[in-house]
Amino acid sequence: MSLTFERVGLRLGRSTILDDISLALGDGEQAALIGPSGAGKSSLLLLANTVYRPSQGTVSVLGQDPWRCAPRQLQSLQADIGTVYQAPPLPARQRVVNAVAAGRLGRQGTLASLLALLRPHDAAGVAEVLQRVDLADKLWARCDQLSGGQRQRVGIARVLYQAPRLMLADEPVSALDPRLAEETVKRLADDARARGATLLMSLHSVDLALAHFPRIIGLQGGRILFDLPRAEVHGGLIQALYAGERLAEDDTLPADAEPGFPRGVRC
Amino acid sequence: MLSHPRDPALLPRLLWGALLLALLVPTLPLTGFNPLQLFDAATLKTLAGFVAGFLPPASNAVFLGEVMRASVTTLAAATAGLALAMLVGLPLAFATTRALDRHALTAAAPSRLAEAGKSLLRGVMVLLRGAPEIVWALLFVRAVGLGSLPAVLALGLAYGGMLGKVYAEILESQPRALARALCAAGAGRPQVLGYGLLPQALPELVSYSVYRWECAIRASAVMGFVGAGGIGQLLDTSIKMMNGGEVSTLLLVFLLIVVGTEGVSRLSRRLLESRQGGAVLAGSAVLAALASVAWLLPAWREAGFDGASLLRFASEFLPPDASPALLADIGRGALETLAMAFLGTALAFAGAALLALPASGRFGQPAKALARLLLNLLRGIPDLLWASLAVLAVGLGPAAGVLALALHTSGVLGRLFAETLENAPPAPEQALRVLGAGRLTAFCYGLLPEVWAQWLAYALYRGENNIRAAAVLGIVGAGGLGQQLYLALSLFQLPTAASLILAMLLLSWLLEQLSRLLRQQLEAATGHAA
Repeated sequence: MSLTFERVGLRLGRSTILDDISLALGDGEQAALIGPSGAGKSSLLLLANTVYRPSQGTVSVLGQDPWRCAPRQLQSLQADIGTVYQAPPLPARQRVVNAVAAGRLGRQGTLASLLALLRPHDAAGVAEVLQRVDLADKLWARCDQLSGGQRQRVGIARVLYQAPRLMLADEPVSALDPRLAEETVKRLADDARARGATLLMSLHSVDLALAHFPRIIGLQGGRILFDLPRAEVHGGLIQALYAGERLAEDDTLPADAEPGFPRGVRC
Repeated sequence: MLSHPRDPALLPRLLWGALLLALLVPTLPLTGFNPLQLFDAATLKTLAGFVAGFLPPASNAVFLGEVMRASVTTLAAATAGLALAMLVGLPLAFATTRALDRHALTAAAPSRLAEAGKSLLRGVMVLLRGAPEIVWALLFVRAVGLGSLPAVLALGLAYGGMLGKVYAEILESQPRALARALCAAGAGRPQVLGYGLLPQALPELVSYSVYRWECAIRASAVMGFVGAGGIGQLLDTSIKMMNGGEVSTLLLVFLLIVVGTEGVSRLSRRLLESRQGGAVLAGSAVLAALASVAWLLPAWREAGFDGASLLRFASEFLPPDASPALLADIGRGALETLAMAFLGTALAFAGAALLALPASGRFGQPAKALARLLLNLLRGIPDLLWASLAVLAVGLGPAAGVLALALHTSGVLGRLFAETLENAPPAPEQALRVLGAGRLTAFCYGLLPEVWAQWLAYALYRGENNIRAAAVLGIVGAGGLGQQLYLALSLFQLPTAASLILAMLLLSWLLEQLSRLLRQQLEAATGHAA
């Protein structure tokens, strides 16, 4: 099994985010996670990639419980988990080449990684991955010179470059136009299939989920409403899943104000 | 092309790196600063003895009473000095600000005579603030004798030039619509100022003046080192007599004063926002200035002040000595000054980065509190004070200056660096941690790119400051132009001193131009990239 949740609960502060989640993904399996915003899709993925520690139950990844690993063991386990985030976590002033190469930091020695900051050692490999997300010409660009959609594709390129055994993706195409979104989802699914990796992707668009994933998991209010093969997911279920959805809250991060330059020449 | 992607940034990076190295390496012989010497067993032993001598702080009643009086004198000199500076700066700002120019507000043609007058006044301001206040203090001590009067005069002139420039700039940065309307309606310069600009600009003017008052207190304390009274003079005596207990008491009192002033200035800023706060603030400022003069006046009367002798003293500086031997000396001194500033800033950059990591809370709360305390200590003690301590530790000469600048600047930069670390988004670093990157690599890939440019900008800004500082550290024996000036004044070689002061002015002016140019380039480059 690549990913198993056994009666997992997650509480952050006083609020219960996830409750009694049990699911299992076999090696090489692909599943889509759908549900209204606030259902806990992102949190479920963050439990799977070891950002959150479960408050109840156990999460095991690639056959190991990350919270019972020794540090070294955990690190090599983490190197096999790749995550595409909804808002790509890229430093604004970092160059694309380093942002993508960072995907393999879990498998590299510290010294080699630091030297690569001065002189990228696998620019060709990074360029090849960038080509697969149509950003071959942005290899040397800085992340803040890219559009939102381009940044999201850099985040995807990082995971492709990492080539993990478990791929997690949190609404990876929310900033892309429909045609590009379709293509990107397909590309991630193809990549996972070609390498025999497991893929769990949360999606806003039910159509995309149904078109590309054989297994659909519906999440509502922190619980699994259904976990079914695509053929058995019918319109009624979808309606029940999104019934009573409130308008999505604005969950964008506040813009960071650059600290001002101190006034006064000398003191 | 795809198979051989060449990094376009590689060559520039190599060139910058080589340039940095080429600048940094010669600073070691130029300043005689030997980092290894600091960790030498003998030096460590001397230092340990020196630090151990600081404990316990002196606490006998006679000394404490003396410290108390000196502290009040320091505060009073700073307050009176700033009051004088405002008396100098306000008219200068009023006369020179472009915000009140009829031709800037309406379509009228500028009057050539008035413009020439303004240029002249601007030149005067450049001269006033171009020489650091400690140099003014040194000169006034020679002219009117020991005591707090030189401190007040020095602050009045140096800060007067500064306030004049900044007040004028603040007025220029205000929205012009109202001023334009008033001007079109035939209002004169005072009316446009009073009704069109002052109401909007007042908060900023006051808050800048309060900030300057804070600076004045530090400066006034330090001026004691050249004999201008107050707590600095006591400190100078105690240091020269190697009385560690007294030194630590004085340092503690000094830090208390600095913290106290920061509190007062925060309070006054809050007052400014309340309804009647402005009037309260103005009233207490006037009272404070009067009380300060009243406290200082008896000593001034005793010392006697003679305008004629001041003029005679000033005339002895002329003409400045321009002999080739002296010019070569000045060149050497200037080079030494630059080397001190450069090496000191580079060391401080490394120290600040190392301290900023714990200070931003990356290694837990206790480490954070400890690092913050250390940063505040480093930053709270002015570079000149550090220099006088460093002279004891590593001897007279530029090496002490390097050490002083490195220590003080580590504190300043460390705090700024820690702030940028705390403000940077944490997501990139965390994402790398959970894909298995180690702590150091995740930091270097996830956070450093975010803060690096800001760190460089701060270091550049601070480096510029440090060149000015390095020029005067020699007054307490830490090398560079300052040491030459101190020597020349001690030997009454006034024409030589005049040349040295001119050299300082020139250096400061060149620096201002260079940094303006650099900043414009930087802005253009970043504006281009975005």
